[in-house]
Amino acid sequence: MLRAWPRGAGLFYPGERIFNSSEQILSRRQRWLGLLDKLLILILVVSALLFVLWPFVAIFYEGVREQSSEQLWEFIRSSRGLIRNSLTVAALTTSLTILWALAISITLFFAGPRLSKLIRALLTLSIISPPFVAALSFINLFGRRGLITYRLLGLRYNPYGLQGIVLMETFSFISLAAMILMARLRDIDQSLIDSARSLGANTNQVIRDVILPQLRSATLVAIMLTFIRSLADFSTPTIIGGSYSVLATEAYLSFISRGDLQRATGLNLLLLLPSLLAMIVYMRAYRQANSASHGVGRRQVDNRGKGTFLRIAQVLTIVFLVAMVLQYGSIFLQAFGKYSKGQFFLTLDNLYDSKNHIGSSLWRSVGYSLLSGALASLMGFLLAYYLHLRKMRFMQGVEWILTLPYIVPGSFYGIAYILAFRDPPLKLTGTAAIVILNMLFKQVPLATKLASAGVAGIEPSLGDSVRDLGGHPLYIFKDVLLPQTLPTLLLCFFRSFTAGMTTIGSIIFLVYPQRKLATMVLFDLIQSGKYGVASFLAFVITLICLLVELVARKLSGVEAD
Amino acid sequence: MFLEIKDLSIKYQDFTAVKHFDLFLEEGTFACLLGPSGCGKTTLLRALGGFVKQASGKIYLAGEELTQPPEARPIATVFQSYALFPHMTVGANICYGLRLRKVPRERQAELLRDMLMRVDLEGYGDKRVHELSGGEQQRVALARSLIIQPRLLLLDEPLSNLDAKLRVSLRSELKQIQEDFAITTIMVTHDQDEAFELADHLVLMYAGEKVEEGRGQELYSWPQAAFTREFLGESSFYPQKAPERPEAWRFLKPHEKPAPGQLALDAVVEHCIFQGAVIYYDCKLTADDSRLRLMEINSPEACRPPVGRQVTIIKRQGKTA
Repeated sequence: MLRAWPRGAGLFYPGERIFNSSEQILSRRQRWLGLLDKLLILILVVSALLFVLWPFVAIFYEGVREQSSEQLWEFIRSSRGLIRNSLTVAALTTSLTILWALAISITLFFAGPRLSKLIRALLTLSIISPPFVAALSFINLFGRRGLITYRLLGLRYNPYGLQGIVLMETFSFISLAAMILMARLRDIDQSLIDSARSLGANTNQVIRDVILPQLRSATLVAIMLTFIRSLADFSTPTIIGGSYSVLATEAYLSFISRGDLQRATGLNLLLLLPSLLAMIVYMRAYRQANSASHGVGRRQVDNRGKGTFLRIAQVLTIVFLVAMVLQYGSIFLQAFGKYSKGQFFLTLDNLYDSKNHIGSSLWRSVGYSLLSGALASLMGFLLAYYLHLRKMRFMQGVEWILTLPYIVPGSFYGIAYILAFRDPPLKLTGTAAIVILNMLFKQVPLATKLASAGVAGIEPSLGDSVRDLGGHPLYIFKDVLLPQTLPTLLLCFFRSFTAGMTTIGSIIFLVYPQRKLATMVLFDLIQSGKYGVASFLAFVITLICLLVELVARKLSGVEAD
Repeated sequence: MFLEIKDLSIKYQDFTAVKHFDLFLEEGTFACLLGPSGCGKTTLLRALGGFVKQASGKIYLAGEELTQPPEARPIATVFQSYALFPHMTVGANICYGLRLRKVPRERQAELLRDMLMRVDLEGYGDKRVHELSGGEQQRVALARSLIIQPRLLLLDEPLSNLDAKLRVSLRSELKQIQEDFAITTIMVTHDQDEAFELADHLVLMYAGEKVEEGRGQELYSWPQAAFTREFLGESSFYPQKAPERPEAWRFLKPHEKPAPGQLALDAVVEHCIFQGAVIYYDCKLTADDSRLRLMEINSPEACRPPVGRQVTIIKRQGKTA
């Protein structure tokens, strides 16, 4: 085909056959790459079916088999109280969280660069911390022997119950919600604000008439996400709920303490319903948020403002900042401090003590997280490649399936894995594999999202060029996607690692006592009242994640998002 | 014929982008697909490249039917955005196709040197893509396509990303390169001036169909189809007689008298449209209030009647070439 030019005029080397063998080279390579191509697609499809769809089928089957509709109704009726509690907590938490998130993002919008940096740093810190750090610090500060209530004020305050749960969940979830809103604000069309200002709007009006409307779909996304997370959260209510029970805690206790798998399954299915509804709303809102008007990209704009809305927002932000400082401060103090004879002094007792408890769990966590993080990132990028660069429609179905673990409560996902992989030929319970797989597929949705965003910036004609010049479509992955999205890939890997280090929801059901992970050890320590050692462990986990996050930022050159 | 497109149709779901398209080109021809946006010219180009599936019809290149995927076709495409790999140097970009074909390193270097010289980019081998100007990027894209010795070169609006002045100066470069390499080329454009200057063979398209084809002068001066007449060049809005181009008319000079039997129209100048080298005048004919557009060259002999002036319009004598 690619014969050298027959005519003497024009092209290079009349009569020279440069490419006489290129046809064979290209076609031999096509064959190998064709096989590899099919293999990769097969891996993606089989993974989705086997490690996501099958567990979901298994849990639904387990939940409804051998149940008459009467029994089902009875079950639902008897769980009424739990359902009500779960929804109450979720509703209160979501309201407070969104309020604070709005306040913080608005404050940030009008803030100078240094304050922005500080707030962003604290928000990042909050995101990469283990989930129940807030509860731990709350007990440290306000518990029966809390630093503030007992040591400082000499009170005996009981923090357990609904208010504790709501407060602590709020402070855990604010960071993600705020980040979502901030991302939207960063994209806002600055000219909207400028024109409002030039027409005479003051800060209050700008906030009310321009900023808040633009935030509408992002706010909805944040609301739904927070709602789902609150429903799914079992660690905070377990630690600080006292006698106030929610669906998640009851599901956890049913399984862990009583081994009642069926009851745990049933409760999780109940938990799923509101989550699914919220998820549907979330997806619609997410699509809307993405198609909203985007600015050309805000450069260093100086938005200064005054006014009551802003003041309130700033006050709330300061409260948040103080709470953050108290939170991490208390953990540090509890980790490295001790009270003796009414005196406080630094100590490394907890460090020595921890050796007995932590054991190999920390290394195991790191190892599992590295592996699952790497695989999840790779899978996410491959999926984005097939979806957006190769434009394979059926991959949308695969993507949809792979997104499921992200939207369901962690306990639901964990129990699903138990039910799916407890019998041969797929017996994986008790192995490291089941934990790693569980972690992996929980992180793939996020990886896919990051990868898709990275891939969206790639010009489609680059891929066409590769093929035009003779490259098999897989070359597009190697020569176009990877070089252009390497920073995003690295970021994805590190974020997945951090997620792995701080996850607890599903793996707590899968891990055997001999093979504990760090977050589980942390949870146990808190449950058994060893707050000093717990704080130390929380400190170490946070430190590891912080270091990884900093390295990620440096290597990928990506700004705080 | 070197390139034979027979009865090609391309469908997107329920929309037919290209309908029963035929084209026959000899080797070495520079053909232009010209037409308004959405007429299917880019789709046709992509089908030739193998990026779009054809619903029906056949394409033959040098006697062989083209059915393979893009990577196996002896065709190279220069995309509108040039699609240069941003993370590679100029040299790496150009040699990409050679690398895929496992051409030995030293040979690659030789071919690269030669090619850079040919497209007037000597010494640019190590530069990064973002350091280049628009015109330089275009030449790199061309070099990258030409170095793998394709039998057919496809250009998708290669000049539309450039500013006006550059566009004009690069047109002749493009033509020069095409003649130098003597490569059969099909270029898609919506710019008539480009098509007129570059094409040996012009193909006018509309709504997925081929309207007319031929040399630029033929299509311009003796258009067969109404669309051709309206799309190419300016037209005069004089409906009663056979429609004419604006340059067919001129003003009667102050002391001139029309020849016996010559058509002379009384009119009033309504608009005067300055276009640099030429000036257009929209005039309203006194007889029936219809409109006529004529053109004057912006030279010292131009009449330049101001808006509102009564004028007499006559046809220019002579035959079109």
